[in-house]
Amino acid sequence: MTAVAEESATDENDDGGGRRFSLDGGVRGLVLTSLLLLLIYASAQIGQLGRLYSISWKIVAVVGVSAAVFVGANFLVSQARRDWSLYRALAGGILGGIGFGALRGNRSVGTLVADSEFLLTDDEGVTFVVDNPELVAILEGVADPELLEYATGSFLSIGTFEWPILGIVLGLIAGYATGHANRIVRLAVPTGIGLLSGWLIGANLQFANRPDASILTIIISAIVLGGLLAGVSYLFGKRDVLVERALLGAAVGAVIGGWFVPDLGTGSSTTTIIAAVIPLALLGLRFGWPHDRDANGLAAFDRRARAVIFLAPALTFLSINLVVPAIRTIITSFLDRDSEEFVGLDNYEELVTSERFLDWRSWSGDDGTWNIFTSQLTWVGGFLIVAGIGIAYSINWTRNRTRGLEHSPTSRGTMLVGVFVLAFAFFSVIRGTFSNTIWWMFTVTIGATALGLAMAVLSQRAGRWENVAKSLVFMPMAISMVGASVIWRLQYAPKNISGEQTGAPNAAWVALGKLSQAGLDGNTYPAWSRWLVLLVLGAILARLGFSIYNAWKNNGSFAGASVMLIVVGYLFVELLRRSLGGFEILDDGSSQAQTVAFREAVQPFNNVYLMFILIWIQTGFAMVILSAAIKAVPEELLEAARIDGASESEQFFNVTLPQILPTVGVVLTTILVAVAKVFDIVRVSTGGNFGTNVLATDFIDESFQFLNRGVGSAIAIMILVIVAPVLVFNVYNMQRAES
Amino acid sequence: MKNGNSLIDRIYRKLSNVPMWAMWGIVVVWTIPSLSLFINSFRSRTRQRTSGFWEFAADADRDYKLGCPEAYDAPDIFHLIENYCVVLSNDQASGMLTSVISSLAIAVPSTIIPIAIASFAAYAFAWIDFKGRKPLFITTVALLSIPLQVALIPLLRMYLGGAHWTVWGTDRTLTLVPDFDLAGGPWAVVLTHTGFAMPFAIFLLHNYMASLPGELIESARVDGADHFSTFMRLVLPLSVPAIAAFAIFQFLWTWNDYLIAVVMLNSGTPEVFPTTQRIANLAGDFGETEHLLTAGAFVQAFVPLVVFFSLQRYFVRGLLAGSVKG
Repeated sequence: MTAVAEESATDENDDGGGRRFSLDGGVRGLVLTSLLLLLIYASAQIGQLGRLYSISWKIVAVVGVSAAVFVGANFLVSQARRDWSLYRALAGGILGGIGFGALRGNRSVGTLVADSEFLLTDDEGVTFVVDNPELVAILEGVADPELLEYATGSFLSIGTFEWPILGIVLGLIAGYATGHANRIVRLAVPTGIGLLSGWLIGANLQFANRPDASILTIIISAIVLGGLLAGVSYLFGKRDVLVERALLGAAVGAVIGGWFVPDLGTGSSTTTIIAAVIPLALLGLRFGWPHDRDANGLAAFDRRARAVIFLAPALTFLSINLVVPAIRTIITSFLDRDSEEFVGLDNYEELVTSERFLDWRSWSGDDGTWNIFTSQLTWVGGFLIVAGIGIAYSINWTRNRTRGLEHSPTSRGTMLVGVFVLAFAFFSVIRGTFSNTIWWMFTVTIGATALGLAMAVLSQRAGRWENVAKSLVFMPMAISMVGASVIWRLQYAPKNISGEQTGAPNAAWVALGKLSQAGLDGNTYPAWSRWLVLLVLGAILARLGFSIYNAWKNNGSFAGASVMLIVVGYLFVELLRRSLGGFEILDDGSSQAQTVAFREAVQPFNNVYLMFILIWIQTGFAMVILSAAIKAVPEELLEAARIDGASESEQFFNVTLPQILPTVGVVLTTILVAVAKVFDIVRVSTGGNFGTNVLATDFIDESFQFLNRGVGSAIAIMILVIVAPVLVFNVYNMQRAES
Repeated sequence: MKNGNSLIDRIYRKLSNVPMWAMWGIVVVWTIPSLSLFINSFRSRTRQRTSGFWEFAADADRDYKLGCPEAYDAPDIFHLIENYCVVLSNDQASGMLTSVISSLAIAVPSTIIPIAIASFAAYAFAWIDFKGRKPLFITTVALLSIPLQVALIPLLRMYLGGAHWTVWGTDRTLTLVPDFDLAGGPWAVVLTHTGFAMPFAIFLLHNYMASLPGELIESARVDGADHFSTFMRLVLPLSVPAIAAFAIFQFLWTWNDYLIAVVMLNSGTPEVFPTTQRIANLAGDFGETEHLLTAGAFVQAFVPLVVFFSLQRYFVRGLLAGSVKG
């Protein structure tokens, strides 16, 4: 096992070169290769080799094609500096292909080379070709099955490729011409090709899309928008591109006037052709407009084009997979369960007022169990807080003989535990998914960070065993939450008391019960076993009392010993009273083992056992990061504290802890965000039953089981509201630390 | 008494070292569940159900045999890998090996594709000077705060039927994304992972690439290298440590993911279920297959554990870097 913390501490040193990565690459390569061979062998054994092969092939193909597109795009831009017209030709070809392909893909245009043709003359006396297969079939009186199949839309059908190929050819020529040295060619050819494409599109457009456009509308909107864009660029001082902007604006305006203003589906072929020709010709004119590029212009173009190429894939994924879906979820959270009617905030209201989300019945004692004032936890927590204040007061009194508070680690610790217990009291009476989520966040975050900190501090003293201990605690981090839930489910599961317990917690609990009932009826443990344990506990108690007395006399710290005293004393008393562990007394006075059904029975504290699974996973993370931070505390500071006579705990609380506080903040917020979205553990452990539902599981239930998209989206937004501030804070801090 | 050096004093000091006991206590509690899983995965159904893993020594009362048995849970022959034989075989509902392949089909492209795409973007944000660079980068990083759940259902609907947009005021519907019939297959999961990895990957790789010495990149540019070759020949090789850290983080994240798989693959055949989903389903019908859970869960955890023990340094670095992942 390699050193976890040392490496993270010296991380920065070998980050620079990247040479270290290949240092023992040979061994890793060997491991990976043998694993791969094993996989292939095993797949062959169960007849899955074909699947493995097809999956690998697909991955290679997808990655290869994507890489080729990226490299190709870069190659294209590289041409711009060498040969402008070649670049323009290639770009034009690609754009033309994509444009015509998209038109064809949306079935806006008919087959370019129609299988059957009818010449029709419309009301205005214009003759045009009917190539819509459905129409042709109808006109012929025969429904050709092949053509009808196209009409119902199979993806690859006749005429699919003619349009893109034509687009590529036209684009190539137009693009090449825009880079031509002769200004006349530069202007005329692209404009001509714009006219030609417009005519092609207009003449072949499906009936349903033909606009009933008027030339006047097209011209007016072209002039308005062209003038607008020219004016804007004039105002912003871009006078050298005034004409180009005007032409671009006019083209856009012509599209609006020709296609968005009029009704679609009622136009004749003439109006369609006009509406298609004008914008495309304007576009051709715009790209053909003489504009000399100097070296600076080319460099600026190169920068812009590269930025687009390098960013486009990422931004595409971000917008399609994150931004747009998130916006849609926000919208659906205001719509009803089928996303049809707008219902305002009804979903949120339904959610917040439902007992599933927040259940106050226990708080007031309505459900007949306990309420906040009859809960033991309230009183224990309250007592600990008071005790903490008392300790702080007494410290000041014994040291300075003045009244007032002076906090020490002991008083703070006592109060913190008090707050923790009090919070448990609150969460145990306020039920519901929202309360549960907050309870999870509270418990797991504090629990994992505290245990991780304890491990980080304590393992330093373990010498050569430090890395073994750390690796073992860190290991659950590599296991999936589903795997961890399964592991703990097997541990938590109680078995019939007639047999043995197979999970460690129940086995220990039952054994404790048997110990405290040792020597009684129906118990296999001999009576002396209980006395032996009592004797050992008594000896430890005596020893602890002696240390506390010594420390008290010498004005030393006895906080740790006191905690130990309470714990051991509790065990001692309970064992003496024969009330420790899992057992129950039967009617005939004999005792019998009793197990704990961690998942179901002890509501609402079964939640805590689920939380412990996540603590089990996250402690290693907290430990590794905090350990690295502790090792980074300058040795001189600790040395100085030692010379001043600070004890080990004083060194930790007064020197180390303040130094690592920012790291503690990072750990806390990181775990907080992970916990807010916890789903796997609850789902696998209890399926959300027994009062363990949290927001993330409720979201899945609501969306897939109750099929209520409105409330489901509202729950998702709730999670966003809980998580976003923490993450923004975290990112802000990291960004600040980077710069 | 405390400073003596006799044997009894030394033993006493060891015994009274309470913090050490506390630490080893934590370590034991943290290790027992995994150890229990590992040991139980080699024990027969009956033994697993009737005694704790700590009684594994009692299993030695029977003959040992390696290899797959013909009859399962045979009373007098102890087949060491019996559970693994069942779990890895093809004809069982458990079929873990099938799902190992499915998990690879998800995790491998979900690692490669985001790395490539994010490193392009990270380079652009770090070294290409274009208008609106800063606001765009901040927006990208801010997207970290979107939890999975917020985007999941609309994404699933897009994979189920494509994306269509009815133009306002008309009855025309444009197809923005055709229906590729992705839902229920690994590519839906891969695309989702890719999208969600993007903000974090860009953030991480950008911070690393931006910290490379500027003179180096400038001199390459002066020598006439364009952005593409600067990226491919200079920045990418120098960023290998950051990329490796992210790759490990992302691979484990996707291998161990359950939420995305369960949403996207619900409509698919069990063949495409990744290991986590398979294990979760196995845990769902508790009882009959309880004894197989141990071996199944160990198979599921095997790949991450190999990564953990062989690449621990990069694993730790990935986790440290991953501490802002949403």
